Amino acid sequence: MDRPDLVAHVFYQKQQALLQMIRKGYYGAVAGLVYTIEYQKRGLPHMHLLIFLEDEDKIWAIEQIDAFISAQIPDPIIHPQLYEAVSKYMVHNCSPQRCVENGKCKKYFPKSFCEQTVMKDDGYPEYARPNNGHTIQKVINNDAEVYTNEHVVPHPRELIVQFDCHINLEVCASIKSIKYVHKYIYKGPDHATLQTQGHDEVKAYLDSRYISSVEAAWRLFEFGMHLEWPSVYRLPVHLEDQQSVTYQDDEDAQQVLEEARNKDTRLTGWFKANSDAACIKAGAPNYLYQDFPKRFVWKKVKVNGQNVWTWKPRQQAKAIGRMYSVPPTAGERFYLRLLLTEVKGMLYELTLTECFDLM
Amino acid sequence: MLRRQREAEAAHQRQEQEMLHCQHEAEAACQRQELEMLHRQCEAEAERQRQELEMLHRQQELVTQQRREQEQRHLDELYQKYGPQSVEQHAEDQARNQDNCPNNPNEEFPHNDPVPPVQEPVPPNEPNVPVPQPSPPPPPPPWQQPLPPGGRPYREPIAKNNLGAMSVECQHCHALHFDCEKLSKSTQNNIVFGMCCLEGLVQLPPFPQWPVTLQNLFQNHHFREHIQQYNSSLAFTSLGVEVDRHTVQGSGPAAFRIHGALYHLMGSLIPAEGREPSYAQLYIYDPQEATDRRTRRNSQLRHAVLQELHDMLANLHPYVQVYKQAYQVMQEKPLEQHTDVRVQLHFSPGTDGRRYNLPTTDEIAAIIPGDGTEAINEHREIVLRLQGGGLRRISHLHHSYSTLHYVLLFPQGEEGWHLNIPLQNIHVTRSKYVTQTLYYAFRLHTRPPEIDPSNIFRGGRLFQQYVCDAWASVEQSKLTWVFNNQKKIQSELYGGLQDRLAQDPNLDLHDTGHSVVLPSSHSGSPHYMQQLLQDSLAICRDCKKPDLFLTMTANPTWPEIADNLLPGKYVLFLYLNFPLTCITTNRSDSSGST
Repeated sequence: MDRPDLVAHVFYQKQQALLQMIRKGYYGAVAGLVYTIEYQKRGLPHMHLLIFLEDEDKIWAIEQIDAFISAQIPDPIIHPQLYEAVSKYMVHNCSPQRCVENGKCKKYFPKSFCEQTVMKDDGYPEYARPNNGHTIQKVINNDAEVYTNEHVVPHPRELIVQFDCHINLEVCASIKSIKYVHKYIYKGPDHATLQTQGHDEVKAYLDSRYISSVEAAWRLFEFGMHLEWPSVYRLPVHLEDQQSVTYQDDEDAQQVLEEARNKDTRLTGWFKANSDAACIKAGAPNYLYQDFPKRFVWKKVKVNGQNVWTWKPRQQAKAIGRMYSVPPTAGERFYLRLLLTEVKGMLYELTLTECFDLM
Repeated sequence: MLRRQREAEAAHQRQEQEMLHCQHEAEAACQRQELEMLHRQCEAEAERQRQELEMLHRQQELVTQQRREQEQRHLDELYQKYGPQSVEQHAEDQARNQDNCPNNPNEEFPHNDPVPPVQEPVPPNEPNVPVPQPSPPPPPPPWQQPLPPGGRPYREPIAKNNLGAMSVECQHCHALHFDCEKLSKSTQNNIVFGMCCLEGLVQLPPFPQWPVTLQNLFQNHHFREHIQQYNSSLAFTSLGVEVDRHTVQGSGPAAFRIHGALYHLMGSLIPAEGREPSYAQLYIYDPQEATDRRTRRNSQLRHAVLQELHDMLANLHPYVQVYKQAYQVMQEKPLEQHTDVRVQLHFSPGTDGRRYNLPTTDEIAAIIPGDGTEAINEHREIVLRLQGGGLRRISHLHHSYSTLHYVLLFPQGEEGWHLNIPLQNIHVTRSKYVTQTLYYAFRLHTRPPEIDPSNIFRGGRLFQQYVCDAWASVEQSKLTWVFNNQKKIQSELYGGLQDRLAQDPNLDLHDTGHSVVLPSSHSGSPHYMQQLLQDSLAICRDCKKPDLFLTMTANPTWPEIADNLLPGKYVLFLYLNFPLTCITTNRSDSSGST
């Protein structure tokens, strides 16, 4: 650990190798990947990865879960490599600093034996942990402890041997667990909760941040902190003449206004694309605003020597769109967003106000 | 002659071609044979499978036949007993029963329903009821299709993922890399790396070798254990940061972690009334007394070691001289001016050449006495006061920022990052100067010992602290930018701006704005995480539900890490006078010889 730079290098490469395997179809055709890198309290980096599979490979059946995930101690004679890996990395050892709260393990270990994998009502599967007499002995702080299948963290058999580290794999079986998982992986870096005076987010951030040495090295090498694939286009939602304008404080206000008037936002660009011949040919009127980036790219083209941003039919790569969220209190803007989730191929001539009249 | 020659050549070529042709044919024949073999094998396999299937089928049929016969016999008996009516009734009863209990063992063969259909008025004596053909099995459910590699049955042995040796040199800066770190545009003969020096854009001189005193001390276990304490008792500046001590003391190695903002603080040259002298103040004292005071402040530290280090720094570190001179200059002023007098240390960063020239006292600072009214560029200059004024921050953009605190990593006043380190080639999209991030990324790569002694990597926890400090100051720079450019990143609603402009044609954009915000473009900020979450939910909308949730944690005992801790860590110090190529890089050797 006295070489945080080295830990960062090695972890980054291993993590990329694992991602590469998964992308090549280790768990079936991949439709989307999302990961974030975090640092434990002790400073070791870890990755949270969500895998979205294509429809034909989606996981629905217990048989699939059993094929991918194991929560058992293997036979030490038949599978010595796996036995070693499980005993090294995949046995949950409760300790008061880590997981015990009010005398109970926050992660519910030890779990009860279970002969077969069962889908529970709350959306979390109960993995098979048969009471088959397999045990692991470990000496921790001079105490010999015996662990059984009750203490095994669910894991992919092949990967933990191959990558020689702790890899926890869980199946997201139901809709209920999605929100939890998302909240979990995007909880952000560790921050202390502080009372701050005034509204200065910069100071608040600075005062509450934590930096561990591996994280520092990771950031200095400019390794990625997260990935969302396919890439997500953020689409603005605004009423007529209510778009955001960026400017520098030494610019002339008239000029800023002039430039902004001639510049399309992604929304106004969308209206124009719906009346543009090339875009119509590519099927523009068949898509919702938020599905538009799947078939079109927002890019800069030169028109009469000037840079203009427009939508062009997509040639390659994948992307999806999302509209910025709008609170219901925003009134008309909120209703516009609702409208945009329903109406395809809206035309520019049909201004937003007219749309409301139509409604 | 020529013609004949040519003819002969042509004939020769023809022959060769024919030969080749024959060879090809032979090969093709061979391949064909192989293919045929394979084909036949496949066929044999298929045949075997077919036979097996047939066997199964026959067995099934046999079983059903038997059951059918049994049933028939039973019916016959019933008929003998009760007559034709009751037989029908009985069959009806049975059908009803079957409907009621779906877990009937007969369920496996639902199509070979053993109960004779009611509507079939079979004469009960008739024994050979036609056996219904077993219908083709239903198509397999989706999960019985071949599973992807991750779902195959587990089989050992499994090859471990290994990155190989960290021994591939960058052709520009000689930084050592793993092979897999090369850029994708690398070819076999031209391996390029980006993260160490941007393919040669960043060129910095290596730090000089540590003095022998320090090298020897680093073999001392006690010294390595307490290196942070030793360093801070000898440093010129103190560290203003909260070190996170809540890190879990588990089985893993402890990492250094800081919390909150980080500053380097500098006090006056004479301590305030009634305070013990500390930090830079101690260098003005007699070395013996300074060491006594240091040992008194921290009893864990050894007197002899501190004495040795103090002597080393007094000899080598240029700032000791600078401070002494500044002290003398101010001391000569009349006593009543002592609280006001100050000295400006004006730095002119070295001419960053290929070779590292250690700065001399004159080069690093021009001492300019003054009374504090001069304009100061805090990134270039340090103001020393004789007395009072409290602790003041040193700009983290100052080129002596690191050497003033990390005296044990940079004992010879080595210059750190500053604003004017030029890039080697002016890149179109980048600025002309080496940024902080690029600088530290360059410094945090190990290089072969003949190129760069790579001292700082031996610093243990002090090195960890240095890395944290480096990132903290990079982030601080970014945040400072955000703070100072609130107006620039401020975006006003278009309509809002229009309205304001209508009211006031001479609108000054300086006046529009809100409180200080940390925008979502700063990675790690709350707004940033919020946006990412939304992105991920958009993916969720498009790709339906996520299937798998995987967590991978780094393993500090990975062989790649253990093998690449500095090679021949201690041997380097012992055989320093030998030609550097003789150095053994085997760790087991080194531990044997130390």
